[in-house]
Amino acid sequence: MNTTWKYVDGIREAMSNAMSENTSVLILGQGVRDHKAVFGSISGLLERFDERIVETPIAEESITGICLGMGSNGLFPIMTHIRADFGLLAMNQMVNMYSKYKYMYGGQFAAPGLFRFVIGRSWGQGAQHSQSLHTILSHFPSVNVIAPSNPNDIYRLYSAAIRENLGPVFSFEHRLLYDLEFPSLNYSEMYETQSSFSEIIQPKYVRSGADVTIVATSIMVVEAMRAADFVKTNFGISCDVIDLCSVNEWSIELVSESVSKTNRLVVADVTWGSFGLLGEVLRRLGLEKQALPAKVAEVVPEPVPCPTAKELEDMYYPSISDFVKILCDISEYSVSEEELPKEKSFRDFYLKFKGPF
Amino acid sequence: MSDLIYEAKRIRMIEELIIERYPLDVFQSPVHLSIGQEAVAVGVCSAVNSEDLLYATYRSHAFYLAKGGNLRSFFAELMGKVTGCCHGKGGSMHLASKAVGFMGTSAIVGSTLPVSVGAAFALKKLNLQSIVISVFGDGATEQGVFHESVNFASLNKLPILFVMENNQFAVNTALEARQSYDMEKLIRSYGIRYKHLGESFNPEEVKNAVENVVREIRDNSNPGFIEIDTYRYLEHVGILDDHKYGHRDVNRLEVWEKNDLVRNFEYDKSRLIEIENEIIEAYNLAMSDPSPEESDLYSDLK
Repeated sequence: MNTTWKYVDGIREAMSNAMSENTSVLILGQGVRDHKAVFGSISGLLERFDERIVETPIAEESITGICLGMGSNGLFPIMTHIRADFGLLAMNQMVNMYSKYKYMYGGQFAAPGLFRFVIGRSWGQGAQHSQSLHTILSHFPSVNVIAPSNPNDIYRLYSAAIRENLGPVFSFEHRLLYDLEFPSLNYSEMYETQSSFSEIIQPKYVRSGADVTIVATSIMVVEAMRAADFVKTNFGISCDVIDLCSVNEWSIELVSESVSKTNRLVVADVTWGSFGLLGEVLRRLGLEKQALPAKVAEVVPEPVPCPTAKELEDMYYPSISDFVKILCDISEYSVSEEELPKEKSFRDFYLKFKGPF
Repeated sequence: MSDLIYEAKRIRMIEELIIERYPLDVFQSPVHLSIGQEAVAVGVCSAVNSEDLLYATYRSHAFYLAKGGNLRSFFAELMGKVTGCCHGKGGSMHLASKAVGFMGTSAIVGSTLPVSVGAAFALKKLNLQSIVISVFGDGATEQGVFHESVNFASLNKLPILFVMENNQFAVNTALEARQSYDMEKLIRSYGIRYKHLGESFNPEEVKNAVENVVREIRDNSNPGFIEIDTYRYLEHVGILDDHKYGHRDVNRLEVWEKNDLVRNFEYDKSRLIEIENEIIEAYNLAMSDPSPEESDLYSDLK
């Protein structure tokens, strides 16, 4: 057993195992039968499960509804959007139909299904290949929205979602995470312990500190760890980093415990801040604990559509330097330009990413 | 013959009771009445099996009842009672009864189309012998998802019958103002067999036409499409006659009143009394049923 594995391995292994165990699991999407195998995330599955890998027309709305018809009649569909942006075409079926089918008919139907949304970033992805819908979809009751930060979580969540016949589950996979190596679960954690979906999605500390609470999703958990490392080493600022695995369903306790200690909250997310995650964390803290932190900040993209020129793109996305500056500012630590990380581009760190688009 | 016409008459009597009691505010739901369109529902449902799965629209009282949906649960659902077919969470526009293969209706035009296609895919994949009946109105064919759904059904040779109820109106807008395409040519272009049944005055004629199409679907596992002309006597939503506003063709109303078998059939009086008693009993039972409680608000969420 390898001691590390990639994000993309976690995705593929979860689906591969589930499809072996359960013949009702299908994969649908545009390009799911082509040689690129959705950025390698379903490599090898076509050869093993041939007719259960269903190539679809370019018809996001109907395919989503078709998944609902499949799911409510004994199959478990996994639909892949190779860019999350395409999911906007399916909002009617996701919101008006899928997320209502159980409740609206008084529990007569289950509406299982897993939707994979790949979030693009950098190398000219631009305004329509870089967005995420996780905060939008989290607005609606009765859905499960996740943005896993590592292969262990994504493996366990996909396995549990299929095993428990859950749905709809909307999962946001950051493209730049795909090829990153992470320490892997040991054998028993992976194959023997079968935690439930609702257990796995709970927020967890991925780093402990005393000065600042960072709440992050998806790839921003990795960025938060890097920023927290930097401020600890260079300025002695220590951070709690909380991985918010589920965007729309999480216990407030961990966040509240941390914030009551630090009194400083930084939220790092992969989409814009307005009507977004910082607002939601504060809403929950206020309503459920009547206790708000004294200082707040967010690490999110600038409020403009994503541009394509590298110079503009680097201004659009928060860099590690921006992140460190925000952590210093909220800690009232006076930092000079020279003391900040020299890396101005997020992409400089994720150099492995070369496409394929 | 006589059984089908009594079934259609029963549905009309049920909706006439809704009209009669609507001013009392016992029905906590907007109603899109099927009056005039019962022969389609009765004819279609009598041409398929109880295991076949039917998806329909917000105007589906007739289809719910024709597919065998429980009458007391129907009234209870419209009254917002916990004994309703959807426990008071659906109302008139979201009827469903899985037990009789009535698989869901939606208030968004065209939105059950892809769901029904997915159900047909599941039936085929799981080697079940049933078929899907997907019911929608003329307006649904204007949605982009209509093309997407019909295309996928044809590509995958799915066992599905598309039933287009053409009442010629989308709310108050006539078909001519909405559609540039020829329905027959359009459907044939997908490689799907198309049948246009004219005015559906008689449920028996609908049944016979649908049976022929259904036989081909079962034999060949290929989609079929039937367009059925029908007439909605009342306004789009609500219980009133809206012919006085001048947006509808009064000549067609006359033709319908003259030929509508549900309206003009010479019924056996004692059978009608039996039906009326059944309806009143179900109505009274639903009236005495309990309302949902706070715990019901949060149940069946995920």
